[in-house]
Amino acid sequence: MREEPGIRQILLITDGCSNVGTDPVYVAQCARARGMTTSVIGILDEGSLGEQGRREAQNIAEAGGGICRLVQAHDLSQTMQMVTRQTMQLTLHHVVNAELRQLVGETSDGLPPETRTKVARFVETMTDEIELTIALVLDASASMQSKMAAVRESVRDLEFGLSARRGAYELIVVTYPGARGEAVDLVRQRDFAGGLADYIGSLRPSGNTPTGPALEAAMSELLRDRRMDALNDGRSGDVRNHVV
Amino acid sequence: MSYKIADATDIPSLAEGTVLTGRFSKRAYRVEHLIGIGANGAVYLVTDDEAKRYALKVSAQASALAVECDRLRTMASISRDLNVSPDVVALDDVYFANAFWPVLVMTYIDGVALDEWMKTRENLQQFPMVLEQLVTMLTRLHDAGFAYCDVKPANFLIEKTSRRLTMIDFGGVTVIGQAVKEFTEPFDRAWWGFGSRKADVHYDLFAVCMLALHLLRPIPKHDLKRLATAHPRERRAYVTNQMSVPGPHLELLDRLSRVLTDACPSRDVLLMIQAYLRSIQSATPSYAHAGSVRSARRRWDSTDYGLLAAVIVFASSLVGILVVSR
Ligand SMILES: Nc1ncnc2c1ncn2[C@@H]1O[C@H](COP(=O)(O)OP(=O)(O)O)[C@@H](O)[C@H]1O
Ligand SMILES: [Mg+2]
Repeated sequence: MREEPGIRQILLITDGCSNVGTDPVYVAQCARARGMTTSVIGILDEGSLGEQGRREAQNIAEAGGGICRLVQAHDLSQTMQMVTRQTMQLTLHHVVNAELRQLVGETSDGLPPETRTKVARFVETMTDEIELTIALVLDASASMQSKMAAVRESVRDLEFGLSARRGAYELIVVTYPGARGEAVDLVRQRDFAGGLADYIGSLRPSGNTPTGPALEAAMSELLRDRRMDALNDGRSGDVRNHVV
Repeated sequence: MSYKIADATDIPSLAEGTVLTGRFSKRAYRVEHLIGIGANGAVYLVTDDEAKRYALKVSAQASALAVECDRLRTMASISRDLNVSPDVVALDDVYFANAFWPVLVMTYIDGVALDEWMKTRENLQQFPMVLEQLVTMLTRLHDAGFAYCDVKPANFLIEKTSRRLTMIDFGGVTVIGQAVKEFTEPFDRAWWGFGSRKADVHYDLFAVCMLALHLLRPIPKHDLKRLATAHPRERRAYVTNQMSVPGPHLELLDRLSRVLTDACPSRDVLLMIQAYLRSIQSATPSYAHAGSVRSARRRWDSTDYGLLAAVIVFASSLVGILVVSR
């Protein structure tokens, strides 16, 4: 059996613009260089996102090699599942296309439709089976107060979606700013027997918006994860090892 | 060209009269007008040089569209005798707005969406028959190893001339055992707290039941809104309450729950609906007099029948869930 190193994703959910600490666009770029994609969901309710926030959301996703979606809070559940899935497909296609270019000098988009269908079916199966680690980075600044109930149920819902897959998954939640004055709080699913949704439900949003530092925390946690795995089985690798 | 992921809203719109030529097939299509926009793409009515009409779906996700095409072909091959889904004409790319866009060309279904169609009293009476057709189609897919996973009124059209129920949008069709790819909350088993979001037979049957409920006793918008921030446990209680309206169907429900002791594939549900249809065709059902609230003398109207059918499906899917989660 081959090792299945899996996919690592950062998913940022915010309703505003960062205002303290490192530039989040820069962090997303660093994460991408280390093999993680960053996607962003901007919440539009009550218009606190603004033009600047929208632009930042788009820039973070672009630098992070992921997807950006701007939605109302009531569309959050569906959007989270969709973004997670599409980001995985993006990553997988990226890998498959790199291989195809080497083998046949074409990416799957240049292939005739019949052949493309075979590639698509393969990616569909991989999307369901590959191991997935997601760091959910949640804006818990003051403006999020009215949206936290929607966020809580969306996270519960995301877990329904993730646990329905055949592949293993792990969910890490980074909330910012931290409840006790730190820039961020970080919890792992395995630390929370009661479910992450209820943990999120217990948060009292307040304070400013250190998006950059929160993304940094997510990135180093995901990297730590990888190093641990590498130590555990004496190997490290990326998706390519598995896909091909 | 790199792999793109974009929203349907990111696709530039196509003006009437635009001619699109298939990159691989070299066939040309003239854009007539936009039919609908969904999560995965925009669907246009197009014509070829013989003025024959087609539905052309433009997507920003080549991969998803290719899988959808694959599923449409599967459906066509397993239900040729029923003729209840569009035929694939081509999977291709067309060039517009400075880029190649993946398109799926299918036969055009001239019809009305199920919820629209059900608005007249006459059509409402046909509901049990519609339900039978619906379960028949789903059973075919189930037998082939797929679940439809996106049962909702907008995805079923009643064809104008044949009055046949037609299934469109195969973008959600999932291999049984994999996670559901796309869902719509009011029809999603996991959202309502009745089970997982894995693609299986009961996932579809649950959605059929919610569809019946939606068509016959619509859930008020403000209730859905309130439930969106409620725990799935509360949502479950809400549906159970909606389903337990007093009426003669309670006795049937009871009978069913005694009959359904084993795993219940969709074929059994189909048989049950058929038996039920036979019983309502042979005048008044024998169990009608058992109605505790509704008077035995009052003739059943279509809503009673429809609701009954809904309850049949609901009960069987509930039993199914119990069996599955054991
Ligand atoms: N073959 C078809 N014939 C007629 N109308 C169609 C056909 N396919 C799709 N449509 C129309 O286009 C709309 C959107 O298509 P759909 O496949 O459901 O897109 P999405 O996957 O994005 O939801 C449908 O609701 C329907 O009205
Ligand atoms: Mg649709």
